[in-house]
Amino acid sequence: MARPEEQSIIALSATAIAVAFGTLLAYGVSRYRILSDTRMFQLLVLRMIPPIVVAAPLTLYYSVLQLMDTAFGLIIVYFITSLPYAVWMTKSFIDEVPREMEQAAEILGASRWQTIREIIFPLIRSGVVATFLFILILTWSEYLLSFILSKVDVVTLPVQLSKYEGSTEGRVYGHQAALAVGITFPLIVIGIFIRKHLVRGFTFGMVKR
Amino acid sequence: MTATATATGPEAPPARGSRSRGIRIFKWTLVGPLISLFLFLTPVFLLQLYFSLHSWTIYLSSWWDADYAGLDLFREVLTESRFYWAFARSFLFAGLSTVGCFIIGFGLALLMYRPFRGHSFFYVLFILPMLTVPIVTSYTADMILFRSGPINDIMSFLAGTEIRFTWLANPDFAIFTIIMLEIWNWTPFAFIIMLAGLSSLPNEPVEAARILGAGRLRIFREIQVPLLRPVIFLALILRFLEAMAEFPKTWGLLQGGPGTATETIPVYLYIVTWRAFNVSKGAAASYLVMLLMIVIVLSAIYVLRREKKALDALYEKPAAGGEG
Repeated sequence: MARPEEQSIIALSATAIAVAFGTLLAYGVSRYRILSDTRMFQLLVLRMIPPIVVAAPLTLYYSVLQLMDTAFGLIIVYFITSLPYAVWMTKSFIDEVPREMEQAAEILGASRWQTIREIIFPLIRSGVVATFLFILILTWSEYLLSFILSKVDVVTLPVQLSKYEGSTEGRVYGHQAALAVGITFPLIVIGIFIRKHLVRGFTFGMVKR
Repeated sequence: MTATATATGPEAPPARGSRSRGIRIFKWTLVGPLISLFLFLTPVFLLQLYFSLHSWTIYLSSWWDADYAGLDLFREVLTESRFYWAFARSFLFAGLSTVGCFIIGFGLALLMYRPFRGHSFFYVLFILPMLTVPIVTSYTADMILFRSGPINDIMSFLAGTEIRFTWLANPDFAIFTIIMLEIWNWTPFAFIIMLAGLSSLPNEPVEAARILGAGRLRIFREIQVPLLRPVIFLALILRFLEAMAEFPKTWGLLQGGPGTATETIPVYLYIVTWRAFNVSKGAAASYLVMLLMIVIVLSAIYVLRREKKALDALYEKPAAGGEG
């Protein structure tokens, strides 16, 4: 039986890790080119190869690692699949921040983490929030990977939804519809909340402002 | 917020002395985890290679003493017409839904990129489909597209005659029903990207063309579209690749049926691996699909890089001469 708090923990922590790591990486790429352009585009491959292609060996690998049917296992795969979007979206925000401010901070003796925390982050906060919520929408509604990697102990809500199709008692329309509303509602609230930021984050640097 | 704080917490501030050393430490604290991530994933690809070369199904006990099969499994997949049909359907599905999403999304963006009264209401309305969970969409569609369901009732009411259209059970039409659902679901994605593109276009070229007497259509074709090229490619490529991987709607709605009429590549791979438990054949097919997808992704990346370079070059020159 699916538990909403479990679903929230999986989606929120995978998203949080992906966005935190992605933002730092994007900062490094934007300011110090720690990844070349080629590597940045290669990162996109993580997202663009259909997950079904590696699903079967992933199942076996996970059962060897004892990660099958665990929240931690799902968090790892969601982290991996959301990282490319996290890096690319936050990078387009960081690129817009003028470098002069960091240089000034550096001259005044700020450390790199201080610069990130106190100069960069406040300026890109709305962008990071938009990225966070966009990736949250994707991980929240992800179906295929949780369908394959979790069955009994950990059941995400979208997979629970298809359990109501069950063959023993026929299709339980009422439960299914109620849960469907329950899953969708938070996303719509989030979407309305971030609508303004979505437009900014979605261009992956393909637009100059 | 808290997320960044936890990530930065364990890191010591870089050594003050040498600046380049600090950058190097910074670089490897970030690139290190990234590399270990790829190393973590490597066994998955090795396992897949193992399975595609060894004949194993779930009925055999231990996977490590399966018989070596050489390229037999690849041969089996490549001689199966079902595999090619799945490919054809995937391309039809991804191609048509991408074009549909793009045209409608671009159209809506053209209507919306100037502010007007009630703008934010329409904006929320247009992005709403993207905020639904795909699997919810598919089960809801299953209910409302039923032969005597609400969609047919509404159409009957509007047409004034009894319409009982078979949306799902008709093997010739079922895939188009799913394509329409995919378009409904992801038009907002194209809409948002194109809206972002349109609203960031510089005003001067459009104004100049208008003063010189160009019509709306001519401005659109000769100024707006060329300037939007990178964004257009971005929208088309991202949408196409995501549609190639689409699973919840095709699976939740029809599970590849009726017959194999809506069996796209992901559904085919799922059925071979988890319904027929033919893991090795599934792995061989997956390998072929992965190779093809890598070719597609690399060419997509080539196009995106070229567009991004052209864009950067275009904007660098005027910036050097001083911005207006």
